Amino acid sequence: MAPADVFILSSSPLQKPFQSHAMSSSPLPSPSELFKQKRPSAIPTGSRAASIPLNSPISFTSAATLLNESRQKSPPDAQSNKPTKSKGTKKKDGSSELLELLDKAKVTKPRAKRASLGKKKDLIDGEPAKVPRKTITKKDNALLDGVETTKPKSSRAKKVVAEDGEEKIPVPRKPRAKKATKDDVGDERAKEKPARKPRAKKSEGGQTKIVKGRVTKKSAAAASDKAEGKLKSISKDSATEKISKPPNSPVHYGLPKAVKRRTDWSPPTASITSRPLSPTSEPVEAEIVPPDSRPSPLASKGFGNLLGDYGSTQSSVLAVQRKVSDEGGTRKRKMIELIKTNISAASNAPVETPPKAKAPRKKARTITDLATSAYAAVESDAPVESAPLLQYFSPTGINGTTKESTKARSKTASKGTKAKKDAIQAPVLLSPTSALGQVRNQDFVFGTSSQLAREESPTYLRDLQMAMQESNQMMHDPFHDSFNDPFADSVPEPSAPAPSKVRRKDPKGALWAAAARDASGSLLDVEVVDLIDSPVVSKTGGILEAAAQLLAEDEWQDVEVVLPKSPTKAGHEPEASTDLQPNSPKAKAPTKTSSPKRPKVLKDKDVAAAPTKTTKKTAKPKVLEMPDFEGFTTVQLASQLASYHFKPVKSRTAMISLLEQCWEGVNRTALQEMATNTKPSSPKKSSKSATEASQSKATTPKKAVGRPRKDSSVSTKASPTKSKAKSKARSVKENEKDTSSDSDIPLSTLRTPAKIKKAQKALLQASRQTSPRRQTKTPPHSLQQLSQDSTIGADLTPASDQATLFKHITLAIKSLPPSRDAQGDPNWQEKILMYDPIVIEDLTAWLNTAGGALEKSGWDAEVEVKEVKKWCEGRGICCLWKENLRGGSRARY
Amino acid sequence: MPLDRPIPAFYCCYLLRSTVSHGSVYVGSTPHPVRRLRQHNGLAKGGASRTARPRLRPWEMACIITGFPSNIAALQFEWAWQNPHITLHIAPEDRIQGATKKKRSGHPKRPRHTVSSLLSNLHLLLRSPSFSRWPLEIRFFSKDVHNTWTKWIKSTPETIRDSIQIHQEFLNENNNGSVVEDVDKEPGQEAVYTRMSHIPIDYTGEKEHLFKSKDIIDFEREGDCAVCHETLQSGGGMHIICPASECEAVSHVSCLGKHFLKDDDDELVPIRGHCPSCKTQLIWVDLVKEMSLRVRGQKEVENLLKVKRSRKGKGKASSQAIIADSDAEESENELELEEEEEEEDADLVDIITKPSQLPEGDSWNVIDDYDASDMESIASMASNMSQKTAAIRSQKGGAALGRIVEDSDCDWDEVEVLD
Repeated sequence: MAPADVFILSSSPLQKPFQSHAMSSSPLPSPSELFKQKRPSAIPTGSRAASIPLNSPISFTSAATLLNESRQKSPPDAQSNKPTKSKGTKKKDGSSELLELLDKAKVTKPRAKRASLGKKKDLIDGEPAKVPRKTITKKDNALLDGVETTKPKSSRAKKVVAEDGEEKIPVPRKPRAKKATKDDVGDERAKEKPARKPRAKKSEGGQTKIVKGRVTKKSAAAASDKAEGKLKSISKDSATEKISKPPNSPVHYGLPKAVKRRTDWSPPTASITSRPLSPTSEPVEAEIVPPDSRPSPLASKGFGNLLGDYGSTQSSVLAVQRKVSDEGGTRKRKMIELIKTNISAASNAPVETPPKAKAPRKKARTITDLATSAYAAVESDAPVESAPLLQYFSPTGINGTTKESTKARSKTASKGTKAKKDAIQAPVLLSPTSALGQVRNQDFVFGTSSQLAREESPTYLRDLQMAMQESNQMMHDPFHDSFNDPFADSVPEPSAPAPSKVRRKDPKGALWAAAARDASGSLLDVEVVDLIDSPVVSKTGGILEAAAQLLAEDEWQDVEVVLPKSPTKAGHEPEASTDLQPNSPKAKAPTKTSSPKRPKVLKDKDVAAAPTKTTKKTAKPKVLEMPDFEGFTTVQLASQLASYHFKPVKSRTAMISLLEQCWEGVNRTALQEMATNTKPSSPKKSSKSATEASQSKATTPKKAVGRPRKDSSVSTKASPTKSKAKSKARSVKENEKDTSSDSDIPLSTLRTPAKIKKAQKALLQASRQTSPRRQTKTPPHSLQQLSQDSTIGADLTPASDQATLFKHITLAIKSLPPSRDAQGDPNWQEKILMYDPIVIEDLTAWLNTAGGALEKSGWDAEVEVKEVKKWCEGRGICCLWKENLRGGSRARY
Repeated sequence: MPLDRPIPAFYCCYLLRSTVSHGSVYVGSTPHPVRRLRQHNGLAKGGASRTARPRLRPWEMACIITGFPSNIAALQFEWAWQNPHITLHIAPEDRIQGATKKKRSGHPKRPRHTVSSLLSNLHLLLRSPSFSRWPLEIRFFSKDVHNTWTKWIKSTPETIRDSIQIHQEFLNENNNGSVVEDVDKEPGQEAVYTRMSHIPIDYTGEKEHLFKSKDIIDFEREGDCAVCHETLQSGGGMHIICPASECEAVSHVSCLGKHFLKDDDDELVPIRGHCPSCKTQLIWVDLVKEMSLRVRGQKEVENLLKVKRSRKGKGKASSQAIIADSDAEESENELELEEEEEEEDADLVDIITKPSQLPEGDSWNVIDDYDASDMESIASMASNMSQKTAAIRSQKGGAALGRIVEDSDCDWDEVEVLD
């Protein structure tokens, strides 16, 4: 006892208390609890006597092992030889380590006690003993962080359950055991040295006691019937002895083995092997192990190890499970594994990685590798699969543009494809002619592989191309016969680089602009072709599947296979190839690619859904386009009207507007979405409004004309309503400001009429505003109009009314008595007299509320800010808004 | 936030015109025209970039509108003058100059200003109810601008309120017509500078009045309100004290205001009136300015009084300091103008210009007696001067301007003497 005490002192007392604090705060119950709880357990243990020889050596060994362990964990600390000093240094160096040690010790102790207790229970009466313990554990948990404590417990508990009923008991015991050990320590210390700092003592005592605990465990494990009393007494003795004797003891009790193990420490294997042995053959080892293993779960409770536990819990669980399968001394094994797993996880990882790295190396090819692999003579394996680069694309390819390219190009291309084919279909060697024919059917897609790979669906590009060409045709057809030939446009000029098409940019950009217009120069009524969001495409899976099918089906076939079905095909233009389309699913791919530009494709129902739908869609708008009634003769107009069962109308414009409305009504469904869009911009002037509205509605669907936009349909649907709502809200807000803002810009009056006059142009512009960005611009337009109206409304209030109101305001201000206090606020009249700039809002507020100034003057209603402003300006009073145009308020006047 | 500053001693809007290209004009506002003009001409830092083009320099202030009762008032007027096409101060039916074009933003584009258009709009603005009752004055520093003005006045039936005084600050000698044009121009500029420098831009004019009222207030001789005969609270309140030396009439602001307005029920701000006791005719703004100084301008009053005791020069310096801070706003305001007009510069052709005798970089001289730096610049300028024919006489006794003679050496001497 005495040496132990001294020892405690020697170890840096300052640090200890601190550490002990950490300990005490989280894991340990209050000292009072400990005392209460442990005493009962201690008493029975104390009563039982002998088995000292067994325990004492064990305890010594345990101390040494602890030291060793700590050394292992903390290499810098490991250098210190003597346990006592090392402990001190450890404490100094890393408080966390100490904490761990302490925790371990405590843990171990409890276990020992548990074991002993369990045995006792078995011997004496298990339930009563258990009950108090359990309650204690609960308390502990409550004291500790619920999460941490529960986790380890639960895991352990599970394991335990899996194994034996006995093991279940230990799980709850652990915390108890700690307490018990602490209590013991506390008892001892209290007996020994009352004056010392309880916390520090506890920590040290915990360690020493840990040793005892181990001893007891060993005793419990090895000799089942050994009394706990022996343990305690022994432990006390051992504690004192340990401190003094540590170096000597390890030699005797198999410590060297343990040390070796520790140092070498290849955790998984060693632990597994050791487990079965530990309970029976090598008690020392087994015991030594548990303290280490234990700490991790228990450490979680420890304040210092909170973070570490998060990492460790999983591994520990795994380890425990393994152990469970192993069977045997369950607790010890678990503990061992827990620690090991932590270490092993780190150590194992690097070992495993190298093989992995090797494997990917082989697989990971550069793009150039992939591309050139087909040409590598060495690779005989490749033929099984299609050439790697080709895997990225469906055999159908993307566009047929290259087909018709000049001979030079086809030659070069053919070479490449030949080689590829050879590589792919090693067995079949094509004749030059058939190879050429195949080349013709082959689609070539040019672009960087990243570009090409970007498109998920191989058909996407083609679809896009088709859609574009469709739209091109649509616009060209009416005007130029030359364009009627679907191929006229589609056939690339020899010089035209294929990649540009792949990139979806029409080389003739001007065509797109032109495509948006019809003969009269007005926007074409073309619906958006939304390749992304259209039902077909939206199920990208569908396309992909289709593509996949094609891929699957479309193994390379010798031209011979195809040729018989379409004799004309091989050497001929894509026109011929269309015949093939219906033939067989296999033929689909080539035909598709070869004749993407054809109108015939539309008829081909076998073709994958996507292209047909898109093309149909693009075609549709044509039908929807409103006839240019302006261009009709009067007679025609009349007949048209008659067709709507209208009586003849005299004025031509009326007829036109009526017809437009009729037409719109007929086609309403198609245009419905857009109607909302036009509202805000619909001009207000009565005479033209009807026509304009109808026109605008008709024109708006054109928005997406030209370039099929991915997001266009979505944006057009969503944004108009939003912007509209916004604009309304804003307009109401800004009405006043707009009209009466101190910038005194009558923008509304100036802008809107002009726009209205240029109805057609404006509408066209508006209809062009497809992008949401532009749409945001439209609200001001409507705003202006609204505000204009409001100003008009304001102006419409009888002038006499306003005059009287102004008189009242004047009166209200003039009737103010002179302000009394000099330096303070001058009243409004004085302000005005002093040429102060008048803040309109303030004056209005004062007029309306403060003292009911206006009411006093005989005016019953409230004044509006606008009117106040007018009043000020009319009297040469310098007035300004509180808020400037940027929304801030004036810093000074 | 309550207004915490007295009515400024001086604030003006000015019409700036390039002496080289008379079609190039600029409208700005400043509490310190001389400094501002030096800025425009590149003699001091901070000119508007719009006026930074060397080709158009030197600029002259063709005319200034003075007497703005607050910087905000001045800025509002400036903006209205700059944007006659959209300002609400001009009734739509009266608008002379509408916007013919639109900017890209859709805002109406400001039509290009000329001297005549600006003058006509100035006339219009001064007639508008918003500004017609303001205590403004017009000072012309350029003869031909004044001529344009008079022409315009003759052509328009409406007249501006007679309370708005029009001063001709250009040299009378040139009016005789015998002088050659180019000679007319150069010295005219000189004269403008000189005269501008003598426009009081500080509170010195209020000194006497202040002194008197301070005396009255300090000794609590307010007595009763001269109008309502109610006993006035002593200790300085919103009271107006008659500036007439013998008169000690003190009255409530509101009372006197009503008294001045008399029968005019609808108006709130009087323009002028007669003292209820001594019957002197008083300008309202003078009374109010002094009162605002008393009530709000502690600093200014202190400076003013201090100056009076110590030395004369400091009064001006202090006033400059007071004015200085308002310059920030001024330049800010002008930026807007600059953007727009930048492009117009290129188009401007100098139709009116007489054969300019000025070598590039040789510009008018700054002559003022404000500070040493000015003098230096003048000196340096003087050495460059090739033609100085007209003798310039100082208008007021303060600064004795000698003659500036062609000979640069002589100029040096002259300048030195000036101090």
